[in-house]
Amino acid sequence: MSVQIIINGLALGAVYALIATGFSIIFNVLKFSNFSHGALMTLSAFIGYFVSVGTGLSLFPVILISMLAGGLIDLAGEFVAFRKLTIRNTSSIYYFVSSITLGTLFEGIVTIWVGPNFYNYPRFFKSMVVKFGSLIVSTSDLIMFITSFAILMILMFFIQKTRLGRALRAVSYDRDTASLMGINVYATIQMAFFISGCLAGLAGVFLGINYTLYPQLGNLVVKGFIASVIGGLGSIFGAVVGAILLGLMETLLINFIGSGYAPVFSFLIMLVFLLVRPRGIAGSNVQEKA
Amino acid sequence: MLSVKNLSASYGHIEALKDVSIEAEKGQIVSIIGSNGAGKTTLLRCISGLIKPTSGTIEFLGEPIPNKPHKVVKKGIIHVPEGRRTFSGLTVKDNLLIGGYLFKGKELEDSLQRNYKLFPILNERKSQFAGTLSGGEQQMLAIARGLMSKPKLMLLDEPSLGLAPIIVNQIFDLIKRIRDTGITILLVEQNARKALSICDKAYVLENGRITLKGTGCELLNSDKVKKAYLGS
Repeated sequence: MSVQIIINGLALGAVYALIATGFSIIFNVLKFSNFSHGALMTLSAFIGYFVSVGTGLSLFPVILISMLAGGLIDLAGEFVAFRKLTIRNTSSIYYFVSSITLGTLFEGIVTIWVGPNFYNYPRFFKSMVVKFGSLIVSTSDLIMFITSFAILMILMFFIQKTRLGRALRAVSYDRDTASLMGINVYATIQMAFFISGCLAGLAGVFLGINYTLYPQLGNLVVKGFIASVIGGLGSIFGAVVGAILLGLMETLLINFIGSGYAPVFSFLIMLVFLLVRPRGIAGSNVQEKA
Repeated sequence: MLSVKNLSASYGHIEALKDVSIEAEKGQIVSIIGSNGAGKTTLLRCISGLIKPTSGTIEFLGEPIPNKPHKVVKKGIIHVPEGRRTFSGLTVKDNLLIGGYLFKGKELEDSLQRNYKLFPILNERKSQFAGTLSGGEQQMLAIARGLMSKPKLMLLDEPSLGLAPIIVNQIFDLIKRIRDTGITILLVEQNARKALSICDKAYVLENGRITLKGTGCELLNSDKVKKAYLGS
């Protein structure tokens, strides 16, 4: 029983990690919390849904289509909502307002398109559970955990070890100096939005499978936000750790005190972190030396 | 090699550069001296594409320079900014690799090894965060990071700023050594005595205008420079 709860929590945490990472990448590059991220998750999850209903494709092609849709829509969103602000180097409050507006737009599109109804993804798996000896794990949990983990690993490798990943980190630290090193800053920002959008698409599909699909599904982005606060805003590694912790904690709380009160504790824990350790778990300590 | 003609630039209504013309030939060290706010940094930022001049031309190797900073780097101009601006939360090695952003694979690795040889201290500290280096080491890192792009022209903005005299001497020796490898250097400095003693040619920038030019020796002996910048 308890092992199953933990696996459950890990799967949920892995999906939160996808949200938190998508959030963190943009926070790193442009120093604002992208509140359109949630609505983008919904929008790309619905695109995946209608593709899967229309074509009968299996889970992984649907995931791929949703990720691609999320990435491309986020690219368009960057161009419409944030590019001018970046060129003019405005303060982050304008990004903030712009991202809320963009999120409202996405949510509006979804509501007009599908109405206020609830939708269910088709059943992607032949059997609902996988048995390991006496251990029974739900197939969707297992696939969610493995896929998210693999994608996050690839992303970490990309950011830490590749040329474009280094460019992304350089632009996150100091845009002007990065451009003096020959890095095309705007192309790098576009790349960040594309990656973030792909993560939103993936997270959207998984949330849709885990719960149901409805126009306000994106509100779950709050979980990703809490995870990044716990982990340390701006740190991708911290976001992943925070998300896994949050997922585990929620699942345990739901089991012990019921699903009514569990969200209350999530917010309480975030508030405690903001009071006691606002830098989060991984909050960086490196200081600029004059 | 570098030819700046009648360059003007402004921030809003404040004119920072007025009709500035300078020339640099291959293999020279050209110094620009002047006090705070004279427009030295603005001049460098115009050349590297961070600021658009309001009028005038900048030609490099006979061609006008591109209008985006990352394209300017591709042409072989690297700008080592004032205050070093190393990526403090990244490792020394990552800082250098970002400096070599234009290259990939073996070419990048070769460039990295060459700079480790030139700066053994950076090799020793390659996995340290750049923000934990001392001021002098950070300046070396900033210069090494610039060299990673294999530039033809290096723009150095106040490399001696805030450093102990003995380190300043090391940095100026280093600048001469870089010049000896064939890289042209445009040096902006407040430390006028040092900057004039190593340069082939120098300009004095005052309130956005070039008021004097000559060889380093000439300016060192000029009464006006002595009075205003050398304190004697």
